[in-house]
Amino acid sequence: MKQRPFLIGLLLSLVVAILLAIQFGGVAMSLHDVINGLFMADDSLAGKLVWEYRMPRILVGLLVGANLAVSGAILQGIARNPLVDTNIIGMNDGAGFAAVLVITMVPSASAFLLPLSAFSGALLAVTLVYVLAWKRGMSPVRLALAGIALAALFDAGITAMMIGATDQVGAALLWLKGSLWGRGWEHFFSLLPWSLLSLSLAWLLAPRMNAICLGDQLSRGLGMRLELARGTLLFVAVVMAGSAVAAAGTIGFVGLVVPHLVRLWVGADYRILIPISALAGGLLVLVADTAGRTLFAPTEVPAGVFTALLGAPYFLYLLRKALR
Amino acid sequence: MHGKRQTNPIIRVVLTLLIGLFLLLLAVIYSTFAGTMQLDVSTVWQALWQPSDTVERAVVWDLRLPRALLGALVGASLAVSGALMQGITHNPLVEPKLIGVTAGASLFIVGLTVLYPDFPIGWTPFVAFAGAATGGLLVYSMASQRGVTPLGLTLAGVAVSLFLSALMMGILVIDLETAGLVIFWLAGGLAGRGWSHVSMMLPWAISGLVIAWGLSSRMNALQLGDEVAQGLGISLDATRLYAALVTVVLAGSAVAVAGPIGFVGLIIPHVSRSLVGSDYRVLVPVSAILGACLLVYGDIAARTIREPLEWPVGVLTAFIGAPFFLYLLRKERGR
Repeated sequence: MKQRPFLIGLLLSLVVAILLAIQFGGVAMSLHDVINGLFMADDSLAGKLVWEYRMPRILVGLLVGANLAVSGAILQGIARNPLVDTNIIGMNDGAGFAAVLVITMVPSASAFLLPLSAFSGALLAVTLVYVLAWKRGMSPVRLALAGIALAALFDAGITAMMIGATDQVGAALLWLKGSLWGRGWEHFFSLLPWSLLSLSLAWLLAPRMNAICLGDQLSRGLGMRLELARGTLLFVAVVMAGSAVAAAGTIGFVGLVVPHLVRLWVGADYRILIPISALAGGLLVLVADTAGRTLFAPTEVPAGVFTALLGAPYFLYLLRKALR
Repeated sequence: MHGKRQTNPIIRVVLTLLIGLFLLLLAVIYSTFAGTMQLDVSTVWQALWQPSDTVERAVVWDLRLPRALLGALVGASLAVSGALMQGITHNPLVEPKLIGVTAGASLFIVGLTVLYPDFPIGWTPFVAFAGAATGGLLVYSMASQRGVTPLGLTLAGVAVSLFLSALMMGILVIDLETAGLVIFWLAGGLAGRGWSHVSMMLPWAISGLVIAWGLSSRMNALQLGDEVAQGLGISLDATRLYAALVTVVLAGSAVAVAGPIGFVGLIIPHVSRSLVGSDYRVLVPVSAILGACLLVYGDIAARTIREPLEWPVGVLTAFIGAPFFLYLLRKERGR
C-alpha cells in the first residue's frame, strides 16, 4: 500500500501539532507540564489548562477540519468540479444565516438547535445554488459564481439581522468569522455525534463515490441507483458543513485545498481519500488555530484568516487550470 | 420593446436624463425630511437658509444634507466606474467590488489606519487609489492570459477579493481598539458622514466623472473591436489605461469615504444600457444620475426601515445586486 508512508507522516504531524497546541498559548507550558497535565488530570494549573481549555478547543478544531475537508471532497466529486468547496458554494454563509436567524429570533433556543438550523441553512443554500446554476448542464465556473452571489446575499442578510442586536449576537458575530475562540466541551459534544455519523456514512458510501466519479453511464451500468446515492452523499456533505459552521463559524477554503492536496498524494480512491482528508483537514484547522492564537499573542487571529490566505491563491491556481 | 426602439433616440435620451435628474433632486430633498426626527416643510426650509443654533438646523444642515450629497457622489462614482470596467473588459459581470478594486482599497485604508494611526486624513484618497489599483492589477494580470472568459475573470476577482479581505482581517486583529472603529466603516454606509467627507470626495468625483465623459467616444471605439478602433486612429492601450485610471479614482475615492459598497456598479450600467443604449456619451451621464439616485434612495430606506436603527446601505445594494448578478449569470452564455 503506497499510501502508508503518507499516512504515518500525517499521523505523526497530528501528534506533534496536538502537543504544540497544548503547550503554547496565553500561558506557555514546559513539555514536562504538558505530559503531567495530560496524564494526571488533577487540580494543578497544568491539568486545568490542558483539560478545561486547550483540549476541547483542539478537539473541536480537529472535528471541524475533518468535516469541512470531507464535505469538500464529496462536493467536488458529485459536482465533478475542482472549484467547489463549502465556502464557494454558499453553504457556509447559508448555515451562518440560519444560525443567526435562530439566535436573534429565539434567543432561548438550546445549543443543540443551532446545528439543526445550520443544516437547514446549508441545505437551502446548496439547493438554491444548484437550481440557479443549472442550465442544460452544470459548468464548474457558473456553479462557483452562483454560490458566490448567494453567499453575498446571505452575508447581507446576516449583517441586517445583526444591526442593533443584543450582546449575545455580538458574540455570534465573532463566532461567524471563523474562530475557535472560547470553544469548550459543550461545543465538542454537540459536534461529535453529527461528525461521527456523517464521517462514517461518507466512508461507507465511498465505493459509490468512486462509481459516481466514473461518470453517469458507467455507474448506472454497475447497477447503482445514481440519484439516490448522489442525494444521500449531498445530504451527508450538508450535515458536515452545517455542523462545522455551527461549531466554529465560516472557516473557508479547507474543503477546497485539502481534498486536492490529498488527491495528489494518495490518488482519487474515495475509500482512502475520505479518511485521509479528514485527518489532513483536522491538522490544517488545528495548525491555523494554534498559529492564530500564538503568533500575535495576546491578540488572536481567527483560524479562518489563515485558511483564506492559504486557500484563495490556491483557488486562483485551480481556476487558471480549469479555464485553460 | 420594438415599438419603444422606434421613438426618436434623442428624445428618449433627453427624457431619461430629465426624469433621472428630477428623481435625484426629489431624493436629495426627501432625504432632508426622512429620519427619526420628523420635520415639516417650513422647518426644513428655515433650517437650510437661516444659520442658527437649533437642533433642526443641525439635523438638516450638518447631518442630512451632506449625507444626501455624499450618497449622490458615491453612487455616481461607483456606477460610472462599473460602466467603464464593463467596457474595458468586455465583461457584463464586472464591477468594483467583484474585481478586487474595492477589496484592495479597503485593505490599504485599513492598513494605513492600523499601522500609521497619525496619518493626515487628506491622504486617505491616495492610499485608496493605490489599493484599488493593486487589487485591480492582480485580477487583470489573471485576465491578460489568453483565453480567460468573462465568467473566469469574475471568479478570479472574487478569489483575489477574499484573499485581500483575509489579509485585512489579519491586520485588523493586530489593534483591536482601532478595529472597533474600522469595522464601523467596513460595513459600507453613509452613517455619520459629514461635510468633511463631501469636500474630500468632491474634487475626485467631479474630475473622474468629467474625464470619464471625455473618454466616451474612445470607449465607444473600444466596443467596436480592435480593428475598427485602430482604423479610427485610436490607441486601444492608451484608452484602456486612461479608463482604468479613472475607474481607480472613482471607485477608490468612493471606498475611502463610504467603505465597501457593492453591486451599484453592476446594476446601474445594465439598467442605463437598457434605457438609452450603449453609446458611452449618453451612458456615462445616465449611469451617474441613476447611480446617485440608487444610493440616495437606498440610504433613505436603509436608515428608515428599522428606525431608529440603521442598516449600512451596502446591505441594501447587496439585497438588490446579488439576485441581479444571478439573473445576468443565467443570461450569460458559454462556460
